[in-house]
Amino acid sequence: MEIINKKTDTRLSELLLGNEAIAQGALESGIAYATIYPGTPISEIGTCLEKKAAAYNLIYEVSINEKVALEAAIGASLSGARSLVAMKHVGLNVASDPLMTLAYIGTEGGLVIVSGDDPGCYSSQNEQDNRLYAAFSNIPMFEPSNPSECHQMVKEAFVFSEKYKIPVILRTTTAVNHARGFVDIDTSSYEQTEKAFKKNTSRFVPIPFNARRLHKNLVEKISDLERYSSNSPFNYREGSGDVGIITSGACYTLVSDSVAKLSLSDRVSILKLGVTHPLPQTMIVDFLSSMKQIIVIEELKPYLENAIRTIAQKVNIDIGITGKSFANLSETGDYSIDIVEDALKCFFNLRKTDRLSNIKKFSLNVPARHPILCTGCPHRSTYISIKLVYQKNAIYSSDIGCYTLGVQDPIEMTDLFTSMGASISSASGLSLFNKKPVVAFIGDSTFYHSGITGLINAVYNKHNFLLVVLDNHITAMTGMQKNPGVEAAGHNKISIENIVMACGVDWCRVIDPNDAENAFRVFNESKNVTGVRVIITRSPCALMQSRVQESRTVYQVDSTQCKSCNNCQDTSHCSTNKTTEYQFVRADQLLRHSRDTHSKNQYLGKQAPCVEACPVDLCAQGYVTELAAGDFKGALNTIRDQVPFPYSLGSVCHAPCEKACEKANNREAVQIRELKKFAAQKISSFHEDQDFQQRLVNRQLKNDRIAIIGAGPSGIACAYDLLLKGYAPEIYEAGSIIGGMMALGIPPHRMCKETFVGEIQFLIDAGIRFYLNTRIGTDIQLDEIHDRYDAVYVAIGQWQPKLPMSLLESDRVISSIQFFSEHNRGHRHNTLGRVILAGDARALIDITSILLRQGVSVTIVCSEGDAFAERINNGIKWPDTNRDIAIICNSTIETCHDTETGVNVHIHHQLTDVTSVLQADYIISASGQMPDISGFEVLESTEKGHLLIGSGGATNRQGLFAGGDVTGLTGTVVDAMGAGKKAATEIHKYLSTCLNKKTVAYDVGINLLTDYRPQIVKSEIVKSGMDKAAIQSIASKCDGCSACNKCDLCFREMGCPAISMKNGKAFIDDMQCTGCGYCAVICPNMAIKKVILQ
Amino acid sequence: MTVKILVTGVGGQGTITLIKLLCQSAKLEGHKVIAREIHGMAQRGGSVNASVVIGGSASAMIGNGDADLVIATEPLELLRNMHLISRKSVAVVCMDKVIPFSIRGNESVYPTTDNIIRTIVSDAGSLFYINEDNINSMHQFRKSLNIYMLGVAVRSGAIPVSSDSFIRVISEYFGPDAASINLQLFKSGYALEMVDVISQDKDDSGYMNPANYQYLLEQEAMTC
Repeated sequence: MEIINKKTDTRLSELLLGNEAIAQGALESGIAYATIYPGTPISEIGTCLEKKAAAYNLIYEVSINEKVALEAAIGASLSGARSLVAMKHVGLNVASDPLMTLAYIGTEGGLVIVSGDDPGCYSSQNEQDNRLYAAFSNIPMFEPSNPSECHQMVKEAFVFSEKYKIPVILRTTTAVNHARGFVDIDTSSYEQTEKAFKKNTSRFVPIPFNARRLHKNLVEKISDLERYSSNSPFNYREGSGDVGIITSGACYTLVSDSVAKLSLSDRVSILKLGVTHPLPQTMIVDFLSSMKQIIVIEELKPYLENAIRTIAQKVNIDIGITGKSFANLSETGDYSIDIVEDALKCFFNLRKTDRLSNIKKFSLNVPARHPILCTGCPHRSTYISIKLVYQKNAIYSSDIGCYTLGVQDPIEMTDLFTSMGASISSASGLSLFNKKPVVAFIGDSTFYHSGITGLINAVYNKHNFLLVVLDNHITAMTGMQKNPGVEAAGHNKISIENIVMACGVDWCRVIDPNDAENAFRVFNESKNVTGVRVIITRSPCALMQSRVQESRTVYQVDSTQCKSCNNCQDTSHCSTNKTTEYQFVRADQLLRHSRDTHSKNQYLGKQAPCVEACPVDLCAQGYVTELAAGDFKGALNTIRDQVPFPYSLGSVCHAPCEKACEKANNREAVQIRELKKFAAQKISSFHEDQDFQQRLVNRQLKNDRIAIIGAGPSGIACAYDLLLKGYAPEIYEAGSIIGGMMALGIPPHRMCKETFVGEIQFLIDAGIRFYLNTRIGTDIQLDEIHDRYDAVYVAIGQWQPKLPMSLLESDRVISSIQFFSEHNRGHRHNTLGRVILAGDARALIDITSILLRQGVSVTIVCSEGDAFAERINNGIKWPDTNRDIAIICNSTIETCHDTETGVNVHIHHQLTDVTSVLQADYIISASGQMPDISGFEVLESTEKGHLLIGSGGATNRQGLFAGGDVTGLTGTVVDAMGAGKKAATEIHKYLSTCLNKKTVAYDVGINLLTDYRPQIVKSEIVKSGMDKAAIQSIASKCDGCSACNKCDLCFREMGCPAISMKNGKAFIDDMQCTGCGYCAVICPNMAIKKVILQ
Repeated sequence: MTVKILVTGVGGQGTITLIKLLCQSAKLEGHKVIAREIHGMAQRGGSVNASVVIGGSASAMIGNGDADLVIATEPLELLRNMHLISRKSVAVVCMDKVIPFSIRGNESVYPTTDNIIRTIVSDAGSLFYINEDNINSMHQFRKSLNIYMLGVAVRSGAIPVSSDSFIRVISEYFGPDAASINLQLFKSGYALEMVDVISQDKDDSGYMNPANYQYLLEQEAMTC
């Protein structure tokens, strides 16, 4: 059959890739139809054919998949058209169904199937050996070893296929496809002739009756073709030695070069096989007979070796055959010339050089250069958006394409992939047996290739997963081939969403992945739907966009906002490294709200309201976000940045942060104090807390000596800050119990005393030195201390009860401080009898609560109104006792007189102006305290007896500072701590400029505390009943108002090649930025801004 | 006698162009030539490794220690291929460092120029390199540094092809505008006063002082 008419004849030598040589050979054979599915290593065959299709009157198609391609080519071939089908090795698996029967039917027009194998997996998921397909299907196979052979063999394959009416597999490997060499080509062009299908049911319709005969015919045909193979010029012998090397394809080139290099040409003969199915049996028998030994050198399977062993055994040739597992000849990977050379050296007992150590030396030290998603790749945006919503909780079933690069750090969102289309089908199976959400990823081209059947199966069987179709309008990975989703001349565009809907999917959305806010919303929505959900993320491949434009949009980092923190005065405080989840929670905080109304707009460059309100500058935003991210240890570390006793403060703090939060966000506040308490509830000892120990190790130690007088919250806070700054502060305490008002003033039902003792022990172990029972003025003089230390902080609090005039005449008055102090030491007040309480409302409730528990009857006298009475009577859940409370509101005690049995109290009712008399056993007065500054007379004080301080706590004596309640400027634990911390900063400043330092080391020694076992009541408080999930959900309400200097989201978590770090801030390279803008939308510090470059 | 040339770098540095120019020029002088390209995902930040063997070889694959010439458009990629280098090898390296993504945030892992040079000279026979200053001074020709390097490589004598053949091939390979710039770059690379780092610096004991490696390739004023 003459199907081609040569028009011209021009011969020249051209530098071609193996793939280009295959395409050229096919064109010279006058092919009428070429259909390929692109993939490494054969992609360039398509590129080359596409370019020349018009000139050669060729119908060129990028097929939907390999099976379809082969089946279409069968139709074309049986119509008389010479047809070429090309696919990568795994593609032949897809096409294997028609392949097996095609062998029975055979061809009319020549049909060549190019199978590009990829030993070494340069760009594939496996390294299967497709030579086995030739034997399996009984289809003849040609194996070229260089571009020139590619060209010749394709041409011969078409002639052969047509002559013997059987297809040919042209099997190449990456080394051959990507070899480049000069090929003598013929640039003649041809005109195609008319083609037509001629019916032949007995041949083309393999119903069982026909198939049985056709199979028999096929086996006979292949048997006959052995003669062709033995006579083919592609199978030939080289050399005259008596050691035979049998090889084919790329391995031949390595053998040939090794033989030349080792000067073995007179010792070996090479049998180079180009037609490897059917094998040239006669030729092989001849070869075996004339050799003393045989070595078979082939990559992957022992295909030739096994066949040759069979032949030798059949014809009874007794010869040593060496092959797989000799030297480094393995079944895996591609062969390097060194492997082949070493095998020959080994075989011929030549000295083996030790080069492996050389390889080791360098391969260990050179940083890897893996391929990654491109700058501006829309897949990155898709991945990050999904990570924001599904986090690590989901199982990610992925597929084959550029997006498979999502397996790499930092995206790491590929848990499974096997073959084209499997993401969807495997997601089905995964979703049946896992509680976690399942997300499947598939690219546009792969979806058309073999995703649709899996989708129908999933919908039909009511599976439950999210399918994300990453539609970038192109088959990018294999070199920008078009697919049915792309508008192109001569093609019909096929909409993915229409297919999805037609498959029966109810919930399908199309989004632009770079529009992070919308993507975030839609992915969140998908979480609340069950069944098969589909989101198509549509944005063109970044490589398709021109980067050289006159003016273009890029993004730049505002370094004042990037990695900035306004929360701490001193960002070195912020000790914790933030987790990936933390970074994502921060983006989540941003995206949850519309950008315009977000409180971030208001607080950029300022402190977060919660931090601003906190007297100890505790980064509530930081630890709340860490809790939301599930980093409980990190949250505790953040609290420890500022707070020496996190749990206890979490119990008693009046939480000004929450009030500020409520005001700032105009909604219910985040329960910050509760969160702090939870984070701190699992108290570990200092010896267990590696992070804290490391923090101390990292300090720069200072020699300056600092004394702190008073072990209350203010003194301890001051000591703690100084400890973290590298000092070894020493605390003098007049009493035997550490904690001041926290230990003795706050009733145990408000704060767990046992835990507090544990927290104090932590501080002792960490290196704060305490001297108990050491009262200034009695045990040691202030001057003495001042002499011995470089700086002194006085925080003795106020412990002197302030009794109103009206109570002075009675001896039966107990001050609230005395009461609490006794109570905290474990003293019971059940013998008090009838008690009248007067004074501060909050203290009254605490005292009442304690007394009721001890069976004491209580009468409260207070100036509060009826609302308070109502609260006492009905609003408070009192301890479960027979309660006996009376309340006299709008009243004050006028005077009182002791009697023999008790005290008569005259009570004045303000509203009625009536005075009545009440009898009681005792009066408890909660009218506050004042400081006792005896021993500190050298310091200036106010009229009320408070120490007088300047800014930062400086007193009138240099080096002596004061703060806390003793100055009358603080009233709560956290305020007192704030004063202590401020003093620590001042002392640090003072010491760094102070010239007159004490050089003599001094150790008081005597009262130094090591093991703290105070006489204090046991705890009454039960720990938080909330679990981690509940805490995370509370913490998730935080909006993260201010910036964070530990932010790393764009640099560390996005993996965009355009983003790097410069001078500690993120930096976007103008030249690389494609302007996708995704980073700008998710930047939690709102530091990335759009810029138009001219 | 074959001459084995490795061309290595990262995507966009023109390694494949060099392979084509080497093949065409060798062919022009009647040499047999075969080449090999491994450019898996170069567009996505991967390495490119390509090789040419001039003078009748079946394969373009280079064995351990067997490279006669290495042209590395990126130094790390040369280090990755040090096993191909031996005392017979001439190395031409451009210090146009491209930080791989794998060490982002930890850039200090990238070897210093000194260490790169030290590593190469410990194994190679000759070294010619284009230092950071040279690269900066040629900023506007950054995309064509490969052609400049080709000039250096031809001048080194490691390629058995005359510069005239290269000049002819370059003028045919590029379009008219690009050809003149590339020709000037090639010529200026070829015309350099070159000092072989290794032979110059080896004292009697074979010790090489890294301090002397700087500025060995004196850049001539570029007029193009």
